[in-house]
Amino acid sequence: MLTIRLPEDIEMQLDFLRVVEHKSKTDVIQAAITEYLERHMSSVSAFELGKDLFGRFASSSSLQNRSTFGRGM
Amino acid sequence: MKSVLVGPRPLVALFDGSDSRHAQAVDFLKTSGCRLVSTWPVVTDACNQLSFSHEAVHDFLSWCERGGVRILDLGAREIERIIELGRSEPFDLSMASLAAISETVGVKELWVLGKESNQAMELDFDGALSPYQA
Repeated sequence: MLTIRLPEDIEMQLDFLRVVEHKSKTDVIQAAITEYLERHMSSVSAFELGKDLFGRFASSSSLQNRSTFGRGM
Repeated sequence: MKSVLVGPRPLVALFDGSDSRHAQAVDFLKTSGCRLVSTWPVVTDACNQLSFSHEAVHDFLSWCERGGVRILDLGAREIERIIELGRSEPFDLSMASLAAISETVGVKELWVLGKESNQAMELDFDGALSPYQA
């Protein structure tokens, strides 16, 4: 559960949308955050998204016989 | 940002710190700055190969959840193509799924990680790979 505090003018606009478009404040805020995340995350590279996770664990065996791009032998 | 298809081999190399190509794999991802695209058969395959450690599998899936790999669903059209590709031996479901999805979404480059190669290659699903010319 997340609680956010909004400036009064934004809250008034949300109330307006609720009346005009029959959407709850929650619906509008969820849509806005989803849109923001999609736009922001799509600009972050696959490396940046995983640099804290890569190679943290090891099989302890150098698997030279794995294939080039598909399944290992 | 360029999109590149990825199979299980580079994914396993990224998350297995003792993999002989681990450093190469991380370096490619860092320098290319690309977006990776794959399929569920590939993710399943990678998880099986990372099953030496449930933490490694957890890290891999967490990265997927963050959007490190865009995982595309396979529909009837892709399955039909996979069946066609399955008529030739040896059959590899992961690679066949990438071939099928490539034709659907128009991403033609595949990340090839091997002894002599660590780059995005243009994929010709009749069998040949050639260096991608942008």
